[in-house]
Amino acid sequence: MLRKLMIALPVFFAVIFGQESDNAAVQNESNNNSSSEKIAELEGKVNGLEESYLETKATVSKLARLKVSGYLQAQWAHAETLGVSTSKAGAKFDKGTDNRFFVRRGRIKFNYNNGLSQYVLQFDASSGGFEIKDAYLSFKEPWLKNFTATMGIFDRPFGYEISYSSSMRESPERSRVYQTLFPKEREIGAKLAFSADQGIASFFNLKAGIFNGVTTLQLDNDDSKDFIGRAGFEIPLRNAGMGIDGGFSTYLGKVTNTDTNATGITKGAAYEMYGEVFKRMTGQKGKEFNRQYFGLDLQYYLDIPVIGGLTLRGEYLWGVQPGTSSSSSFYQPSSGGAPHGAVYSRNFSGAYLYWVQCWGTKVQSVIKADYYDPNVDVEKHDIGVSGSGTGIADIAFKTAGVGLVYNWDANLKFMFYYDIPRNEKSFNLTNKDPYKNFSRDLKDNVFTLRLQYKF
Amino acid sequence: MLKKYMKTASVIGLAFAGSLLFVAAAKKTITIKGSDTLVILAQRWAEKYMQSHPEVVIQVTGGGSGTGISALINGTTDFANASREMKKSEFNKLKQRFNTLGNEIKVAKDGITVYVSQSNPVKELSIAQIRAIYLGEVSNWKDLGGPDAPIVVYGRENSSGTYVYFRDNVLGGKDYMSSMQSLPGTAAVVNAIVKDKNGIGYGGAAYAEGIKIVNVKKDDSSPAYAPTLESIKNSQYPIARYLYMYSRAKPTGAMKEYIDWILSAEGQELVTKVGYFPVN
Repeated sequence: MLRKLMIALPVFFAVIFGQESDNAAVQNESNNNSSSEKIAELEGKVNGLEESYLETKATVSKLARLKVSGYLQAQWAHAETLGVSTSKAGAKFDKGTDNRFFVRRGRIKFNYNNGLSQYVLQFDASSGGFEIKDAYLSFKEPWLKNFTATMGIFDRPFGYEISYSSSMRESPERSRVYQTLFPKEREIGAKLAFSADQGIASFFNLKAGIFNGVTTLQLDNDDSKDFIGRAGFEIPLRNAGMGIDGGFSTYLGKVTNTDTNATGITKGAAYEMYGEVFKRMTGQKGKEFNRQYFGLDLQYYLDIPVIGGLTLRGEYLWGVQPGTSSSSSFYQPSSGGAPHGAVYSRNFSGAYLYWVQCWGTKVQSVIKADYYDPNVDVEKHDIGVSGSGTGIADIAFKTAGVGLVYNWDANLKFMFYYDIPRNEKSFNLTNKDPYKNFSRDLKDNVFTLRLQYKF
Repeated sequence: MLKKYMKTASVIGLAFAGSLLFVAAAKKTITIKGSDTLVILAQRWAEKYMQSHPEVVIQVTGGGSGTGISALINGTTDFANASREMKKSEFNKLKQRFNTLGNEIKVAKDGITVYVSQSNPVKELSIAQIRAIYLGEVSNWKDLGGPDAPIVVYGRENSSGTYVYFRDNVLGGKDYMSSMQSLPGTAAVVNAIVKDKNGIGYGGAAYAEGIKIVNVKKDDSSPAYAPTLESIKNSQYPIARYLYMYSRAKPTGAMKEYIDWILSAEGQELVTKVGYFPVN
């Protein structure tokens, strides 16, 4: 019996453990299969996610080429007297007020840049209304990558102050000479620009183009196109902590006289200066008159250790401006035969000088002076002499300004600026209306507090 | 009216002077932002420097050379780390905002390293072959002496200075192939190559771990070189470059002391330890 038991027990345990071992092996195999399935499933999910990621990435990469930027300038301006209308400090005042809040600029810009080509559209929504500022396409040649062609609405390639963005400028507005000669700064046309990144060519730059010459919104009324160009240089002396840039600009254009006041044999009048008076010429309707500007600009930069950078920016402009009897702004031809005045050609000159000092990275102080003489052939009490044809449009202005800019962060900045214009005086321009009485200096100083947000 | 504003201006002026004194008395903080290639080295420098200069706090972040340079222009960083030279247009923005010319400091040298999988038998490539790969003109390893397998191309994102340098100096200024997988940082490129036996990527020499470095030759008739101290010092390695730190103006005070230390023997010793090459 014991012997039988001795044989039976090992057999029994062998069978039991054998079964358990088989069960464990089956279980392990099952677990392995399950893990493999899970890994395969996870791999599938990861591959799916990777595919999805690549698709998303391709879309995001395309979207990354589209850059949206903009800035908004909200400000409060306080004038020296009620109803100042001659100020070029960015604000006009109604007769019942000497201070107002308004939005000076509200820009949004879309720029799709494909490396060698780009599309730009910029709008402005402000207290002055809504308008297109930039609408152009440009492309760079792929070989040297130094030449860029542009067509559409964009800044006129003249001087320095036009292309210096309003969001960067340390004073609320451009100088009076630029505001008069280049209203809205932009024009419709095509231009070619040269700028090299390296080598001796990088010290020079050139931009020149052909434009309609009648501002961005008006229909061109003649086949004469205006040429505008600037040849510049840049000399960075980094070891000395300074740099000098500059350029020569020219505007060679024509305007067509669309005078509707003089008819018959004397059809169309035009006026040019002879001595200190305007001389009337008849039979000038449809004839073209020169619009010619020349300009020299210079910018000097200096790193001042501990304090911050300093810059002196100056520009001098001269030439011939076709205006009207009441304004030295450029002559905008009439379209569709609407009543229109004659061309008054004036030799003008103007200049500005900025002294900007950075104090650390947050604060900038600015002192600015500019002058604009719309008619250099007549001055002071010779202006407005009866029968001379001269008047308010021939008055020169000198303006001084002082300001402080505080950059709160990369987006927000505050500007405090005081603008002090001084006008030329003439006894002949006495007027009961204090806003037109140029026999004395007008009380038209303006203080501006501006908040700007840029992104 | 002018007198009233003069009084206001005086108050603002006093407040400004007071705030300047407050800032001057505060602990010196130096912020550094930019190149991902440089970020490890920049962190090592900062850690080491702060040990011996506890009065100085140095904050280092990456993001790419373009990001760092933008921050420099915006005034949100003191130094921009960059693995490419600043462009003329970027210097001009600096001039407009800060009236300064910008200051360039060469802090290290790097050989842009071409990585493949350790299992890939390809040992060397010419610049022309690398260009052909990244332009999509060669798409199979067998055309380069490797296995019959598609080449999976990895690269950096366009905010990277390495991306720009590689495009300008290896691709001749042409655009990368559209199917290149752009990754955020050299470490990500290396990780991708480790896992992908058919992959190829590029990046800084300091990151080259777990992958095989391909020797590079200037042209078919030139010898191939690995990015070593000797080959870079002797200008034999064809895609070597400087690594830069840019400031708005010449550094002064704590910033100058830090730069002087980086360029000293102690600072340059860390360059070698991290895997890059000293400037001198």
